[in-house]
Amino acid sequence: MKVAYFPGCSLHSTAREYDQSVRAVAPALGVQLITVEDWNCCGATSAHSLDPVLSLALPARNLARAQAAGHQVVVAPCAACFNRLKTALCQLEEGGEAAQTIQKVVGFRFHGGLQVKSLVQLFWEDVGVGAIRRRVCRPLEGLRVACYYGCLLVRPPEVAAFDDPEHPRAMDDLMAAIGAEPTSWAAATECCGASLSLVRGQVVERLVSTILAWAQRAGAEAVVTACPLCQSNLEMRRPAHIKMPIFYFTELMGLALGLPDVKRWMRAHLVDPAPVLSRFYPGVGARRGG
Amino acid sequence: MLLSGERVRSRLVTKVEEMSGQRVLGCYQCGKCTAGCPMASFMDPVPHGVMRLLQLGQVSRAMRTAAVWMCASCHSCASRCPRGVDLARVMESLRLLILRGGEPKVRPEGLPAELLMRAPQQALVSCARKYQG
Repeated sequence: MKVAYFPGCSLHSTAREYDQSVRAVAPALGVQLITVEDWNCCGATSAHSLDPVLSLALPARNLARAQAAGHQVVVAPCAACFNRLKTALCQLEEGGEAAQTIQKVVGFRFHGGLQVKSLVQLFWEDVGVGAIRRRVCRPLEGLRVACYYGCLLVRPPEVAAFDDPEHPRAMDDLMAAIGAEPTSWAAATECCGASLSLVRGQVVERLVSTILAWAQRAGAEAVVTACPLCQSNLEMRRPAHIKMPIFYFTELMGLALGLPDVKRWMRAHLVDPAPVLSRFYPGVGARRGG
Repeated sequence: MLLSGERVRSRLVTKVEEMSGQRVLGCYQCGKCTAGCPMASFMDPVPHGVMRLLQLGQVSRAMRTAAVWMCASCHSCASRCPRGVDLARVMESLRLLILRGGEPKVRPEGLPAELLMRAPQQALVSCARKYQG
């Protein structure tokens, strides 16, 4: 399966380990990622953008690049990128004046037949849980994880059009496929505070503290996410006494698939994953700020 | 608060409705948005209270609420609203009215350098869009 890959800005900076793990796991599952050539910023934010031209032309340009390269599916690992690209796609499909303006600004003609998917969605719908399970060589048996979807992976439902916006299961199914035990918990779709982390750190600390407390109460040893901002907020704004690692779902999948670079990804974490992972992978650990 | 037809359907209310694409009178004050809002405890008035202010034509008061800046656009409210009102868009229109009228709310140069180094780029872009317009 060949898909267009839109990494997005965070995967080139604080979330490098997400990018590296995605690029390793996808081919191991038979998915060939072809980076959208000359991609640009998706706009990074959802409701913070009422102007259809400003907010949709940016992601639409990436769709235009993917269309020109003959792709049918564009996949974005980051939840915010997925939201922006999908919103642009919905607007283009809907047609009307806004769609005309966007095409004029970007300078392309939308042909239709393009799909935008998050990576969780691609693995869940197109690769399939059964195929993933068959490729696992190092099952993470007994690892209790809380799958954290946050906001934009499943919301707004009319845009994401994927899984249940209140009770999503996709990431839980992926974790179960690699042998882990997804816990049932209350904060799976709560908001981490997003960019309020920059200007209202204490507010985000309170939100993160609640989210992690729910994860602990559910018996989780680690939280699994698909969003660079969720991952960063949950590790950076956690209360000092909670040392729960926050993994990208692809990192744990890479570990279960026996991929060689796992140690390199884990070094970038702020919370040392060794206490949780050393029983599956001796010697794995964090190098602070790495 | 002195109410009048003129105030309730003021130019500013129309502006908010135009910018957000939402009808403020669509809200029937059930409070579901507030019940699910992760930020509600940092807001006073809470989300449906801001909608009530708008219904009463009190746009300037709504613009002075903490709710406008605390809203993280997580879409919990919009995805649960039984009346299909997208409150995140209403909040954004209020922010834009404020930002278009004057100074940016946050200047990137005022943020701690260490934080800027560690925060994901998407947080920086999103923050700039939200607080600078």
